[in-house]
Amino acid sequence: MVKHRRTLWILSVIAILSIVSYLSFWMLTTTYELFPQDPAIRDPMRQAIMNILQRRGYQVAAMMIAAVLIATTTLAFQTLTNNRILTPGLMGFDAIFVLSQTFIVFALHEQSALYQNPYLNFLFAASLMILITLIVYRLVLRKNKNHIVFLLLFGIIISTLSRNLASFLQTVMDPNQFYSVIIRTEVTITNMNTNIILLALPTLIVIIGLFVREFKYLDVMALGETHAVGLGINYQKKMNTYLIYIAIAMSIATALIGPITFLGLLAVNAAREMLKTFKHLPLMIASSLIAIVAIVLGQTIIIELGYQTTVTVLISFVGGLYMIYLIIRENHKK
Amino acid sequence: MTKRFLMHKRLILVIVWLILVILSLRIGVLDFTFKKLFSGDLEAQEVLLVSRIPRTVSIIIAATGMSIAGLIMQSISRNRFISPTTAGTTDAAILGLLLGYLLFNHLNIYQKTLIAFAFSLLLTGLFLMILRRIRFKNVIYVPLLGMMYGALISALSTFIAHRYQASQFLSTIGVGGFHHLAQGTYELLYIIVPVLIVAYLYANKFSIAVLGEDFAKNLGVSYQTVTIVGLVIIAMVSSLTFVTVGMLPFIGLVVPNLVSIYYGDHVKKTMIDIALFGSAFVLLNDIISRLVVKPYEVPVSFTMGITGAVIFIWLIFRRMKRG
Repeated sequence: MVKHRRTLWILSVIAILSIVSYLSFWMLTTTYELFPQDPAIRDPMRQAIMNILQRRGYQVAAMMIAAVLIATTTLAFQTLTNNRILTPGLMGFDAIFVLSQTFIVFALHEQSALYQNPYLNFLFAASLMILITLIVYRLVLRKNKNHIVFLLLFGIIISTLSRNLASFLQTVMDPNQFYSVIIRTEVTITNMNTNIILLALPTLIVIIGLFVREFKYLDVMALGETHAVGLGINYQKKMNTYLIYIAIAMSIATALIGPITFLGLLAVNAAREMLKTFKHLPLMIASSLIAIVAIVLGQTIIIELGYQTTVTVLISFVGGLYMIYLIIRENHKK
Repeated sequence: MTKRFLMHKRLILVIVWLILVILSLRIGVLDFTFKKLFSGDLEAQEVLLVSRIPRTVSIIIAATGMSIAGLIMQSISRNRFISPTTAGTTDAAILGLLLGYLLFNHLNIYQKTLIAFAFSLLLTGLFLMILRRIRFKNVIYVPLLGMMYGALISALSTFIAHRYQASQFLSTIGVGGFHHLAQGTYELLYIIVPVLIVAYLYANKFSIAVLGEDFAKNLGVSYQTVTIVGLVIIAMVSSLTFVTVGMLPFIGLVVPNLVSIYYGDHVKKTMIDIALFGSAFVLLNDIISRLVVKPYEVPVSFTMGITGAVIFIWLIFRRMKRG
């Protein structure tokens, strides 16, 4: 930790700067007079500023929660799969999320509590994701030497399957129901679902707390299954537990800000490059900070440029190029 | 496996295929029966010629083309898990169509095909070139890299579409279906037939390419030429299919893998089985798509996404059991 203190400090400062700029940069570029002399419009203006700040505050909170969750789970997932270019985002969680929402509306009704109540709805979607994850991972990861290949293929298949099942149900359902599903499932960074922040925040604290407590085991598990078992770790049991944590975390992140596949990859790999360590705690802090910077600063820039594109596209583009560069560098013919 | 066993299998395949072809001709909203047709009913003849035959023929051609494109791609990249949809070929075609739409506003189907072909060829070629410069520790890196490459191209498309208010157009590119194909709109697919004949003539060279560059050289086959020919075939077939039919998920991945379980890796010997199996698979899916919400229908790509996924999961488990 001591060794990395400087890097972590710098990253924290950049993260705080990006949050501040997200909250306040619009004040510099707005054409309205923010602090008018005329007392008649002073109060409404102050009210408007407070409203904007409050909305942006919620958005920043949602982005930070999602960033930390995505970075931490990607890190843990890479250790479990022993592979630096995998992310739980490739496992099709977003598609499962869309499918679960479509299914609720299709099988029940858009008026049902399971759909209308954000907490019940979230609980249902999350349990479905956990169930599917556990089935898939248990089947695939159990006693299988070459499991990454299968895991990845399963991810591709599960996401294609869920996406097509959802489209199938959406095609045959009533247009009103279809419309309400679309509103719910088109969660993106510009259309965040801040309703569930009160649910997401405590979950974040619990999940991160659990992971931090487990990092000493993950440090050992990074040596590979044989070594970890030799050093006295119940590898299978630990892995199942972590997979449940990952499924919960991913369902929250997806429900909050929608799918961003490359964010975790970009953040964790950049953190590895910066710190050159295998210890999970500093890596987790650094990658969370990088993820926050990427998403919050990216969003600030995009808003200031007048929504020319979305931050998801920006991150896929930068992240995709960076990952291809890393793969090529690591595997280059010598 | 004995030769008789193989013949037996092929016979069953042919029978199933024929049944599906007849079913595909028979099913539809308009009143049509074979009894009517043979009693000389003019209306029935017209339905058959204008709607049913174009649909069935285009399914057979498109499905055969995409399965064989998958097979060739797997041979020249020497990786079982690669296909036009997992190596950026489809994403490249989408990017090309989007740019064509933005630059020229309206394109006829030939111009569309040409631009989709050019983009698929260039970007898939670039991908295969990158692949050749890398020696992978693990084969899994190839489809992973391919998916990232595809994601990169589609991020570019999304960016451009968003910038020029063409997002809605982008979302309509590539939803696969045979519902709009009738006399006059499907004939372009016939270009695939000569391309496939070339592929068949070249088949032996593809099976040699599977063995690797050095081995191919020893056998007097230019690896470079084989790769380029393969690439052109893949780009032509997938762009033609993409423009006329739309995206057909899984077929390039599932069909060659399934067939190789029963018939082995010999490209020339398996090509006919792949053609039969691929078209039977799509015919079946198309029939399902037409029946579930009768008298309407769902896009065949949705149905194929579901059935293809189920088959593929079964394939993986089969492989896992064997270790």
